[in-house]
Amino acid sequence: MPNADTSYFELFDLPQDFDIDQDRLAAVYRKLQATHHPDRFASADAATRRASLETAALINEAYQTLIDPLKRGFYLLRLAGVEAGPEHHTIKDGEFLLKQMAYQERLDGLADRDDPLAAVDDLRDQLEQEKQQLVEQFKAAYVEKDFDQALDHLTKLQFFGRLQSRLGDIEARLEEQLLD
Amino acid sequence: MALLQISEPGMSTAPHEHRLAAGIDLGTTNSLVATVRSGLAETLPDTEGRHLLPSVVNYSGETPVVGEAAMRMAAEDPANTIASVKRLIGRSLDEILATPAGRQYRFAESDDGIPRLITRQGEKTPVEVSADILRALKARAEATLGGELRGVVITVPAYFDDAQRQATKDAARLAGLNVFRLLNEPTAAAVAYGLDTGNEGVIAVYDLGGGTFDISILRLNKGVFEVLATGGDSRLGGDDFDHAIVDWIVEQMGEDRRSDPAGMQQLLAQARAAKEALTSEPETRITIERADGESWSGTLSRETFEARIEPLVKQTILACRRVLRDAGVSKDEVLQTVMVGGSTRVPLVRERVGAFFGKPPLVDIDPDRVVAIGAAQQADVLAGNNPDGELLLLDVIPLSLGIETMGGLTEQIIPRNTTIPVARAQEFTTYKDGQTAMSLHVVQGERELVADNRSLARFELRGFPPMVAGAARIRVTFQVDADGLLNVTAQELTSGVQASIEIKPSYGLSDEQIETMLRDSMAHAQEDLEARRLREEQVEADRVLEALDAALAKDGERLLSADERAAIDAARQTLETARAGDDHQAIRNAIEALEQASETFVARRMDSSVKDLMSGHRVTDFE
Repeated sequence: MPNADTSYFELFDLPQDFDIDQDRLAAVYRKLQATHHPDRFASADAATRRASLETAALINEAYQTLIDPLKRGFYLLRLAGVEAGPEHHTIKDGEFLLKQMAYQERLDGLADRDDPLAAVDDLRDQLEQEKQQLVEQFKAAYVEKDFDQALDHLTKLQFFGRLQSRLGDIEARLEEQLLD
Repeated sequence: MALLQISEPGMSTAPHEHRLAAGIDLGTTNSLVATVRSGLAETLPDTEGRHLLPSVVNYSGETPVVGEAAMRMAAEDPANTIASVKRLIGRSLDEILATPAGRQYRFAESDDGIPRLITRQGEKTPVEVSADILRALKARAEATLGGELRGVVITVPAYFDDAQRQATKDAARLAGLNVFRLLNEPTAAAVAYGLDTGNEGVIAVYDLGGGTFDISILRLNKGVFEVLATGGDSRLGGDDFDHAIVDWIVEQMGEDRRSDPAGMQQLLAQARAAKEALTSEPETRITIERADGESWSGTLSRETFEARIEPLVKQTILACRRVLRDAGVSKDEVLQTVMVGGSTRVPLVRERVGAFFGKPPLVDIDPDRVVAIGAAQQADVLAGNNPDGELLLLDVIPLSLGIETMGGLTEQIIPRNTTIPVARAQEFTTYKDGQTAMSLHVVQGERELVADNRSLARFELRGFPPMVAGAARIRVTFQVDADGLLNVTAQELTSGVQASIEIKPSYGLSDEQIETMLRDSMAHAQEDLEARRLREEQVEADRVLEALDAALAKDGERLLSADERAAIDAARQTLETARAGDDHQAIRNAIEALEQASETFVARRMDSSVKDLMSGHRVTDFE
């Protein structure tokens, strides 16, 4: 079974690229869990059950890393020897930070709009577009092995992820209020 | 000994041997036991043909009485008749006293937070009461099947936290049951539904039981049941509909007997009957005997009832919204909504759920039996009866797990709806020179402040080598298993030292307390604690020998020298001899000796398996 040296890509028999075949990833995941999940060893001895638990947890970790573009990106960088995380990289791009603040303000003001839910949808589409752009930029930088630049794009992508998450929470609250 | 059957799961199952297994739905109001026989899953009735076992235990006499008989005693002796114990399990006394359930029974003073019900047969914890119900179901199953159960799958609400799950397992242990798996109720229902219809796609399971509400979103695909997200409320259920009617009656009557067990008993019984009547009738008459013996009568209309329960139903719909968002699917993607739990018969519930999802929910699967059926189907697979079976359940953790950090804040370690099993590691360091221990407080919930989350346990990690402050690198691994239970291990990385862990559960019985209960219950059931221990070790010895023999047959020649083989054979012989005897410690020692003797063999097998695995996988395998 996979040990620390097997990469998640190898585990799923996928090429080590940012673009992955989602269907194949899902199919391999199901097949791996069908073989290694603790349910297959419910009647086995204690040590076997423990080992299967660890293996299944590893498979889940690998799957969850590869299925999420952001996590996949950071993982690729880690494989390339670039440690990544907010504490490792500061965004120095002033223009980007200003843009972030503008988005935050828009989020704060959503509830006061005439048609808040329509405004939410608009903002959601915009954020999605921004993300797509950053993903393309990341891919380009990664392929060129310009890992610093790639890390920069990915960190910016993380900002947008947080904005989207906040947007989701705001939408939830708006929906609940409108239900009354 | 981790003799993992990498490419041939279930190979160790002796052919033609059907292992007795069962699924148990340990419900708030009713419990059931089901099994798979001749390929068909069915619930098992008692000698009078009744499938449902009311989750009611009476302690008026010498021994516990469970079920219908207990219900009949409820009117005469309500104080000693415990119903809906599922609302109490895994909760502290303070928590219980703050809920309607707390008003129904008398509890002993507690300095450890553990609730103890005062009964004529002594103080009973909710775990012991649940064990009495499980014993009755065990007896029913074994009598019907004519043999001892290898193991069971017991269902729990998806939204049950670690304490409630652990308590359920403790109850099973007390009842003498081997639990293969704790299974989430909505997942069990999805299994029954999915295996029955063969449908694929995204489904929602809306499970409104007596005491809990769960909403789960699953994807079904060729025998793989993947939970995308789960949500709910472990304190909202059909019982609350009953209490809403009780409150209405009290208002109308002008007399409040809710704090008097006999009075409450009557009120609840009438309320329940009224709720059921209003399912098919527009209004119903309720009659209550006043304290002074006079009779009071009132008419409850369906409109009034619906107005009363409206806020509760709305809460469930809000939970549906949240879980869809968590799952990342829209309402339109949901193919079908499966209704589970008796309270889903209430017309308002069906109406609102149908309106929300945009199509009428599925109601023709018996909402009372579907969970037990699904559990039985999984139990059959876990017992090893179906080695080529396709069934695979990928469930999730329902609540985020976090630890307490500076200032009473929660730092999230594992977010809710993460697929289990899952293991996450976090690194810590020491803050004092020579520090050899540390304490972690683990909580469950989504809030920022620790005080707003549910305290799970305190883990005391001990035994690190003393170092300069900040030099130690302590990796703590939080592992949640397939039952949804947390296990914590810790290792100091620079020295490689594994910490010893002492767990102090925030709400729960310690291992010692369980042992004491086991011994006490044994005395009543006239069983020998020693005999049970012996049996457990013998079962484990059998598993170890079976796994070893299979491994030796496959790779013994290839991977072992003559000397190495001889050493393993010798240890194996010792275990066989011990297994035939009646000294459980001797068996335990022999198992450990054999594991040590075969360590190298195991390692070699793993290595060669990895090579096989990696070289064996090709694109075409997965198409």
